Amino acid sequence: MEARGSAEVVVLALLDARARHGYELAKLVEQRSAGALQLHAASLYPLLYRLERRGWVVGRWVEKAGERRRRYYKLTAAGRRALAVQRQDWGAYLAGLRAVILPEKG
Amino acid sequence: MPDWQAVVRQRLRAEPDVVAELAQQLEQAYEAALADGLPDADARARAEAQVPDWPGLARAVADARAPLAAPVPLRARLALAAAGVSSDTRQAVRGLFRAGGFAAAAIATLGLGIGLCVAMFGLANVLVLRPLPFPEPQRVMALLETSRQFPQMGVSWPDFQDWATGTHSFEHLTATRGTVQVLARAGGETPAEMITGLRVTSGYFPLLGARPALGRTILPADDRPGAADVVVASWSFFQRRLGGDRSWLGRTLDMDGRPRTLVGVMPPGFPGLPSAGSEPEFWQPLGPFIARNPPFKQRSNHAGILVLGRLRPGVSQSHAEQDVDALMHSLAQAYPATNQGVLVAIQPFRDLLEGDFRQPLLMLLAASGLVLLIACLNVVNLVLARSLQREREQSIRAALGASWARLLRGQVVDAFVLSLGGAAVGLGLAAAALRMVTPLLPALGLPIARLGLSADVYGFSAVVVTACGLICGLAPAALGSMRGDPTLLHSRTAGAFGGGRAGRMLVAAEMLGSVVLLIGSGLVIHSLMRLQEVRYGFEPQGRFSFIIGLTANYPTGAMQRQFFREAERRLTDIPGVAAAGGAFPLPLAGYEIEQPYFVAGRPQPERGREPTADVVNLRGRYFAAMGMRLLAGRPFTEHDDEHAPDVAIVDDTLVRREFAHEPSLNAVLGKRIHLDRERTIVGVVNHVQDRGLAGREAAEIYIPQDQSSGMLAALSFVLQARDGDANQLRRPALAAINGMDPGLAATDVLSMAERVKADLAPRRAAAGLLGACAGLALLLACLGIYGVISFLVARRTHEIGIRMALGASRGRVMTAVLRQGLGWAAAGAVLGALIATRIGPALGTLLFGVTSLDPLTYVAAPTVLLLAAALACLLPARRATRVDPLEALRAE
Repeated sequence: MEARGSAEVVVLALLDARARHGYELAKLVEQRSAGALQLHAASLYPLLYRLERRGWVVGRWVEKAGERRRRYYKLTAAGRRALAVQRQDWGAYLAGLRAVILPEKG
Repeated sequence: MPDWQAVVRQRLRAEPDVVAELAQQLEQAYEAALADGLPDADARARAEAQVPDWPGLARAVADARAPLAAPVPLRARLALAAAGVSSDTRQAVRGLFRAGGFAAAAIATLGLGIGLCVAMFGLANVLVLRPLPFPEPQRVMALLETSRQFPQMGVSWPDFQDWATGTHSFEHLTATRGTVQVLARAGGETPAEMITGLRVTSGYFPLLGARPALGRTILPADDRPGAADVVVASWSFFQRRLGGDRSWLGRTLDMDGRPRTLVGVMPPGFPGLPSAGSEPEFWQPLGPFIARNPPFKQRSNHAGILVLGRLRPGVSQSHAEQDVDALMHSLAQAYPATNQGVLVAIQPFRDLLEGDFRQPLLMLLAASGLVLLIACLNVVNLVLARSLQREREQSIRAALGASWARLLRGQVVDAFVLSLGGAAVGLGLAAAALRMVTPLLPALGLPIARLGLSADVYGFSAVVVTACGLICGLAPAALGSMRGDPTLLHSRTAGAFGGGRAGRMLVAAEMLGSVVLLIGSGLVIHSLMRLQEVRYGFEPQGRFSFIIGLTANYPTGAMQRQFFREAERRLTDIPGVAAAGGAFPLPLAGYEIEQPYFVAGRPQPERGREPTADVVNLRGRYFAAMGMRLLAGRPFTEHDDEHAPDVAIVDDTLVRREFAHEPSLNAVLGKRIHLDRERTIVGVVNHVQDRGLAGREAAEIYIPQDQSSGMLAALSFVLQARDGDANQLRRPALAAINGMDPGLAATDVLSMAERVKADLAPRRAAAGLLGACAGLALLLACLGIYGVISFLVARRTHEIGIRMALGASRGRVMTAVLRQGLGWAAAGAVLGALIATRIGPALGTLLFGVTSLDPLTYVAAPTVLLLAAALACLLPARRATRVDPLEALRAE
């Protein structure tokens, strides 16, 4: 399965709710997909950096009381628009996927 | 607990930020594993498993963090793009191979369009587009004289001499006059032949910037009265007739009975001008010729001299016009008898050379461009249909992270691959077409030229391929985006024709282009039909003719008359000849002798305002030989000679013009008409279209050759065969002339039917080529309309099924489908007809007897096209009504 394209949507969707740090994102993906989709550090960080470069997310080091210093990622306005477009696409894509998987009639 | 920062730093060469973030990730994974109760070593392993491939991660991070508008060297970026394009190209070729039917259809369509367009360019480029073959051709002007009576006259020699000394706009000024001469036996056993050449003043060669290949050109010393006779040969003449033998330089050739010293040979390809006649084979000085022929020294004699002038640097055409106009004004005051009302007409030399065929050729080039555009629209349509099938592939590519621009690039590369395929097919077609057309050029009334795929043609093809690639690559994206979805390429709408609107717009555009082409070619074809209704005024079948020019061996009028009298007698005596007669000039010869006249006894019109007629010198039973009808009076006889009273025969056009009030044709007989001198009208014949069907209508006056004051050195003979087969007479007729004088040559040996055919050939060719363009456009448009409609119907199968399940009748569904297709087709047709009304007048000289708003054409062309479009709609419509409602519903 094409991890990159789907992971991108998933990450953007997760950041839509609120800013998160990398480890949290990895965990959430695993939980949400019930383990079906794993996002290792090796693919997560390049993805985040790519989104950051595109201006869809912005990362910032934050130090909260009683916690270690972490880098939090936040969705930008451009990221939100991109997510909207990709959600539509994904609607289309999933429809196409269904057509492939489901047997034809007749 | 391990120092994760150190672990990561050791394995990943990256910025501290990245190292810190990754170390944190591993540390948290490690802690989580410990919390899960794993032993230290296992927890460590699980954390490290987060990054299975450190170098790979390093590359991915570097790649992801590389700034977008980074200072990546331009060359690297170009290389990257090139690599992308080349991989796209491989992908495109593979994809197109898989989609064999689609690719074949698109390449064939583009191939036809490109082939036609490139072939037309090949023709137009050689004949009218490329610069004339001498330095700065735009500075070379052609000068003629003009008056109210004669819009285009040759320049009188004394006027030319005054221009040469009295104007200051020209660097070089030269007078030229065409000549046809008899070359006696030279270079072995070759018989005498007629060859064409130019008499020029010494400025001719410097004006064209030409140097001789051998020897010298014509120098000012050669151009003086009484100078020794010299000749300069063309390269082809030197090779063909003198075997390329240099020892001929300095030796003499017998031309028109005068010995002439060969002083030079021009290089191959000189002058290389487009000319519908033959290229000159030799050049002689004009000055001594004028000196020997006193009539040329009269200011009133405008016999066939064309003046060429090279403008001085920085001098414009209009400046030169003012310059010469001022001089002509003073000449008119100095010589009112001859120069009153005579003006100069200056035009670029190129316009004079290309006047007749420039516009039709550019028209045809434009028409072929329109056909190519229609072909492109068809391919756009195919691409749109295919993109629906590729929706899935595109979605996956988009999901894999392919950007919009990347996908567009893929589409454009696809289109370029198709265009290149089309170009390969098209260049093959064009090369074949040009090879086929080359030998036909003279018959088409075009200059002789070597046609083929030159560098210019390849350059043009490259431009065409680029245009096709861009249209076929970008138009589908633009049309697909009409629903306003910015992600059209990987969205469902890409293949959906923006709800069919894009498809219908394609239909309308194709109809528009086809209607314009069909109306244009319809006008020309209708003109051709009208031309064929016009009568020439003579009977072309079963007759043939040739011209004889006498040499300097017949110096006096008496000797010339004697020769032709004897020739006519011998030709008449040939068995199988029903009638023989001579005329100069012959109808359709391409030149005529137009002279002013007036009816004796009426007030003499002001000079320069007399009516004019074409004057023809006759000998023998010419009217019978031509199959013309004598309407009143008598033909000339051998008694109408130089000792008898001066007579003339006029045609019915002149009678209608001058004697309309007379009660009958017989009443015209005995009237007197003033031509070169006063003559009595003894007969009336039917009018002959002597300037060709499309030529200006002129009245004709015939006079006996024996009573002619000039024009005695050449005569065309017409022979009518008793049994209708003129070909049998050729050999005995030419033998009869040869028997009289082997030093003479009969040339221009053609049947009258061949002359008539040649007269119509250029129009027939133009009509044929335009018709072919229109036919091809019609075919492509129908295929395109069929494609769009059947696609739309296929998309609506489900809807149609529901409608029919709900009780819609077959007829209603048919009507709906037809309306969908034809509505837009009709809109395109109407718009096309409107555009055609603007373009029609540009057909100009190709039109005859029809206006550019010819109602028949404007009704017929769109009707034909709409019928064809209806047919293209009918098949998909029928298929739509055959849809089984159950099947359609199940297809959901």
